[in-house]
Amino acid sequence: MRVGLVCPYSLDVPGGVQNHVRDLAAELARRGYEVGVLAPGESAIVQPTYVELVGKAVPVPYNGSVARLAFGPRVAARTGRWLAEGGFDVVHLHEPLIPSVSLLALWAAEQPVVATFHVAGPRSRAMTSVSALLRPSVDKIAARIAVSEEARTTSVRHVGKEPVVIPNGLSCRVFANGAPFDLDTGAGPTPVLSFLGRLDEPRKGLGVLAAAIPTLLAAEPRLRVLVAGRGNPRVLESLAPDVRRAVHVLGQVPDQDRARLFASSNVFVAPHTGGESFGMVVVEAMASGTPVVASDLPAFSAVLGRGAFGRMFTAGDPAGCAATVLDVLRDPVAARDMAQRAMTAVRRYDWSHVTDEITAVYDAVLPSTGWPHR
Amino acid sequence: MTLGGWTLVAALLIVTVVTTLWCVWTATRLDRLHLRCAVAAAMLEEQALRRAVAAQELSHDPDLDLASAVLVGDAAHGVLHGPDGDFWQAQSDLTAALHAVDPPPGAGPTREVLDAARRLAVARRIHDDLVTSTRDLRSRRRVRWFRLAGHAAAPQTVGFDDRMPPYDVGRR
Repeated sequence: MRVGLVCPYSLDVPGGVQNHVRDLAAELARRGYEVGVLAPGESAIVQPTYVELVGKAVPVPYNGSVARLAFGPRVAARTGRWLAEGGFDVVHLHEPLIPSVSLLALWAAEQPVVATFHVAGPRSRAMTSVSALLRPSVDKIAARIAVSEEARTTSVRHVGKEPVVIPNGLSCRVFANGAPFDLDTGAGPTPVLSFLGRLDEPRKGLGVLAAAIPTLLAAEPRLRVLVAGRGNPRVLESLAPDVRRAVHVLGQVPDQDRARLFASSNVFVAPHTGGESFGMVVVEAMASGTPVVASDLPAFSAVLGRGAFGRMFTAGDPAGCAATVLDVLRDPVAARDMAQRAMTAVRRYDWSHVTDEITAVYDAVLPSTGWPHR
Repeated sequence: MTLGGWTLVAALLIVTVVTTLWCVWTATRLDRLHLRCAVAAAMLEEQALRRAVAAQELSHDPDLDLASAVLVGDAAHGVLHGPDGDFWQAQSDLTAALHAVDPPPGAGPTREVLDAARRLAVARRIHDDLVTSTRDLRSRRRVRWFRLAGHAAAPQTVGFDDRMPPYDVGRR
């Protein structure tokens, strides 16, 4: 079967959707599917041969924030050509309503279209104002996939149709086998706590963790905090110097070092305050066998089995965060049991399972199964 | 009273009369400037809405690719239906969206967007010039001493990006 995957965001920068498309394409190719990937980007990074880049994405204000997207007559023509020459049986678009290559592919597609919705969020004004423009294209989507219940709700609100919920995939094996960083911790055992996410994006919650650190250090003076992610860690500047000394800012870690970060930690903290549709970072920590403490966002609660596979605290509450982390640190046996249960539970997010579910959707929309398409 | 005393009284009288006349004249001028500022602000807002309507028309142009259409349509919607506090930010966003897309040359809606953008830039120039001169006058020492501006709120210049989209509209 020939499958064309389209990613709306530039492959030049890291991101959840980009990783998803890249990993899905690799897994499909491994299974013998003929895969093509279309995405914005310039060829600075070496891509697999089946990836076609449409050129640089430009930053434009869209729906309240600035997004890097690719569009315009040249990109549209190129997308049309890619679809025509690819001979795909199924086209699988990611974030089909973001005005970038996915939407252009939807506009031009004559094959059966599968669309995955990644984002959860409030009702986008675009969906109300330009829905007349989008309607004919949206009607071409043969099957919808949402990565979580949150994203499902968004899709139902925007498109008015019911998607299949298939979670994001990850490679459990990679995360289970991370080698810990070589930390200079001095003498004796040192509890290590880690954070991973944009440092200067408030909804990722570094501020909540920072506010909890003084309480944590008072109870566990030897505690070390590893902070990884892009951006400026400005929220850490307000910490007292002796508190700040316990915090190690690693900056952006490459994808392959995420497993090592988790393996180096006794507790992984996800203090996000909102805007998460799936909670990939929590699932990755679970797959590594590290005990997880997370805020009680719906997406996190869903992957943590309502608290069975990780401890939760009220989102945005530093005191709750500190108390929950200390609980986990003080009972290592219970923490290890919880992490073991989590490792078993995340197997359903492994690409081996997720790809089965996705290909089942492909099969369902093929013309041979009687799906009516243009 | 001595001659010197009379001269002093006369001089004081003249100063008072001149000052009063100046105050009345300046207050009237300020009042007129405030009024003109209000009119210019209303015209500026009208031109901003007209540009958004033209952009919305452009977003429905069948020759525009769908992604560009959605970007422009969304930004226009932000101007026409966005929250009040964000009106000028929405103008800048629309300017950025209009810059990012590349509509077919010579199309009717493309030309209308250009015309509307030009009128908007002119309206803003007129408005901001008036506001600047009004604020200059208000900030003079004597105007502040005599409180000649009364209770009228100080007019504000508007800060937004009003660059013209670089479209090729072909020959007229």
